[in-house]
Amino acid sequence: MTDLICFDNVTLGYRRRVVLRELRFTIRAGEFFGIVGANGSGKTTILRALLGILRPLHGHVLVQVAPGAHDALPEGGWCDLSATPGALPFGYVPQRGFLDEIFPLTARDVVTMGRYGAIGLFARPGARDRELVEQALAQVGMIDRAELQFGDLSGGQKQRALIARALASEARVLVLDEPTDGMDLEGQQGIMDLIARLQTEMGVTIVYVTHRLNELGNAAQRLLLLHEGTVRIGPVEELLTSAVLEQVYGVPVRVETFDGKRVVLT
Amino acid sequence: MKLLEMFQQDFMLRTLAGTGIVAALGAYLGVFIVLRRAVFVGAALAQVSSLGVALALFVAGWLGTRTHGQLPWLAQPLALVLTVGAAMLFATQTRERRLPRETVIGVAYAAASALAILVVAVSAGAEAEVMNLLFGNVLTISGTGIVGLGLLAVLVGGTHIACFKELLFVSFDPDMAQALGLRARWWNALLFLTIGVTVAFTIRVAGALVVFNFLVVPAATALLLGRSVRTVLALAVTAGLVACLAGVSLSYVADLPTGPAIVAASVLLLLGAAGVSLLPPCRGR
Repeated sequence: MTDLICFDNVTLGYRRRVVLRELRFTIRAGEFFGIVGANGSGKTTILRALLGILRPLHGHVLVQVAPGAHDALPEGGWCDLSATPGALPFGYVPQRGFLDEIFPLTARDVVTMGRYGAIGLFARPGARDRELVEQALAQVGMIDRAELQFGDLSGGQKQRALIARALASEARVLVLDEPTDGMDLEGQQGIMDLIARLQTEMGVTIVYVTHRLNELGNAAQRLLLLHEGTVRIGPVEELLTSAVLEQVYGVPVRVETFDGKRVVLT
Repeated sequence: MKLLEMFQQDFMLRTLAGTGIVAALGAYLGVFIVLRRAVFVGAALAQVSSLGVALALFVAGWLGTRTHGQLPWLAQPLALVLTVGAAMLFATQTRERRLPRETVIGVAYAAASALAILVVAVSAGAEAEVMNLLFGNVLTISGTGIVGLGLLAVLVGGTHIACFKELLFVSFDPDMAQALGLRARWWNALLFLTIGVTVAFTIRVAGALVVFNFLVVPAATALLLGRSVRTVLALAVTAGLVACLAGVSLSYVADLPTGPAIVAASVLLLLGAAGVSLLPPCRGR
């Protein structure tokens, strides 16, 4: 796997308040990368820097641009995200509650927005855009609900529509913020299966942000653990051990395996 | 009969044309304002615009220039600069700031309202005319004023037709827009710029109350009935125009103040829409 995103000695914060210092890690093309931390630990701050919404106080967030993929770097290579927004388009799947349901938009309208970055100024969605939207709706199993109002969808359906929007953008990186928060077990499993399928079958890079460690124990390949300023990055099998987790969280932790699945118990 | 007579009066036709343009523009932009839950942007910008006019009156009085009941030439540029400046301030308020946007809007509203009155109080000149000058009068619009409003409508309407999808996207989900390479802050600034320029110009014609009404009530009416953004925009503009025609007619026939009559007609339409929205859906709807 080649490196796709690089946090190069990045310090993040708001104005003078530093949230995270000197982050150094890479995200590889095609991997499932998990970011786990409690509320207030800084995971949303990392996510905002990754999306180019928050400029680092120090250091650079670099992205690998394929040759011919962006006008600013025709020959391809590493590119500073702050200087060139959109150099590597991200399919962002926000927390459902962040989107205002007052907007009179159907699920299809929301998915079509995924094409707005590629369509260009003054233009309207064309035949290819509509085709990509229908494909994306089909991939997440939402074709029959495409004309329903976004605000009327269930939590799981909304999340599927937002994943479809990310897919319609043809972004090769999906950034998901707490995608199963507030869902029942069936809904959670459906979303996790969908994300795993997108990664394994379509080669999409997944960046998954959550506060629940168990959600990623069997899905992610590498993890970034955040806890009270401590940052640990590594493969799941190395980080999800009693020794490491007790060191990070400071409480007794057991890691057990049931039916071949890793479970973290406190 | 009296209603037919209204359409033979030049000044009433000018009033209808001028208020109609204000209604259409305000109702269209109002959909964005209501969807973004920023209705007091309109009220605050109206006060900031009035502060600009008050400052121009103060400067004219200080220089000893007689205005003879007319606005000094400085009024419109000053109102425009202050209103656009305030609109940009509201546009750049994002969630990592210490104060939420509605608080900043509230502070701007209170400060601009009080400052405008204080500036007028210390200005030399005819104070009896001041309220009329500050808050506009739809019955006194000139032919040139209508041409100016028409140009404003072309400018704002053209910008929104050209950039509709970007303005809608950054209003609904600025983070995803940014992630896909759209500069969300710039588009946001453009949206607020069009709102600021519209308020700065229309306030002189229709007054703060009528402009604020058009920025809120027709959009609320349309959102009760429409199920897509385009339908809501079309319904809002229609509701604004109908309220304008009904309000101006009512004011002429019953000899009532025009601005409040327009607001009353807008609110009646809103109540009608609320009633319709409570009806059980028809089969096939």
